[in-house]
Amino acid sequence: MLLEAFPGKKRRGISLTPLIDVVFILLLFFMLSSDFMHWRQISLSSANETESKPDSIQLIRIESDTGELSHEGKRYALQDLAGLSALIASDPKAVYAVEAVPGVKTQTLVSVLDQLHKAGADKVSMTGVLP
Amino acid sequence: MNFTGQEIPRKDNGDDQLIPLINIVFLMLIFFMVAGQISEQDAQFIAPPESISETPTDADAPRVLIDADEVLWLNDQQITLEELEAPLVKAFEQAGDPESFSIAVKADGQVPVETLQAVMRSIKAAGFRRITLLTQPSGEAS
Repeated sequence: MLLEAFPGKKRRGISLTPLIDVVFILLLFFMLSSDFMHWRQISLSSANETESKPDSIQLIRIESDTGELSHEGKRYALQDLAGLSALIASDPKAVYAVEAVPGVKTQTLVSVLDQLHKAGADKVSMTGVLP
Repeated sequence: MNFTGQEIPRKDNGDDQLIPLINIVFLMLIFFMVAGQISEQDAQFIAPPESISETPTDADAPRVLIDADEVLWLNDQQITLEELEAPLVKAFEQAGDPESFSIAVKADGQVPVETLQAVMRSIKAAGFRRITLLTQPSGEAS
């Protein structure tokens, strides 16, 4: 009866299967409900406009979806940051109202707004929202 | 008298082989718990426009969603441009801080600007001045 001499060796540890079940369910839950997108926002209507009346409104028109801009007959390219900076430096206090021809996509509009901000414009708005 | 020597290791082997699996699953679990944020899912998947903006979003703002097919959604309900005013006014009345109440527009990057402007005109006609557009940081932003 040496077989029974060490009963401790026969003891089995806790079964891992229920643990794995629970961990898998938790994993699935977190994988499906997690959101890795970091949302940011841009203001489309400058809320401060009502407080101080802008001196002037400069109209910038998006001519095509590829990013051609025009301002008082002069044409600018979206990537032409130096040209846009020069335009804005001539009247930095003005509200820059952006309007677009039909067919321009939201992404292009957002890129134009970004580019104007980079070029130094403080107040950028869409014409549809001007007071 | 070596009978026991063959029985016991075979029983243990079943769980022993699972330990690497459990390690990986635990690591993934911890990653998703720590790195992900649990948030409400949108009614429609949209690809938001990319922007350099770093302004964090206002969590309390009602979100008007415009999907790539130019369909409007508010609180997971499909809605038309004409019906938009009433629920927004209701949300404004229930807002804790009316001063900073804003309305967030979540539009797909491929939505034409006319559609976006029509929605904004409609929101503005309802009397709301603060309108924001939700974006995501661009990958190649410097």
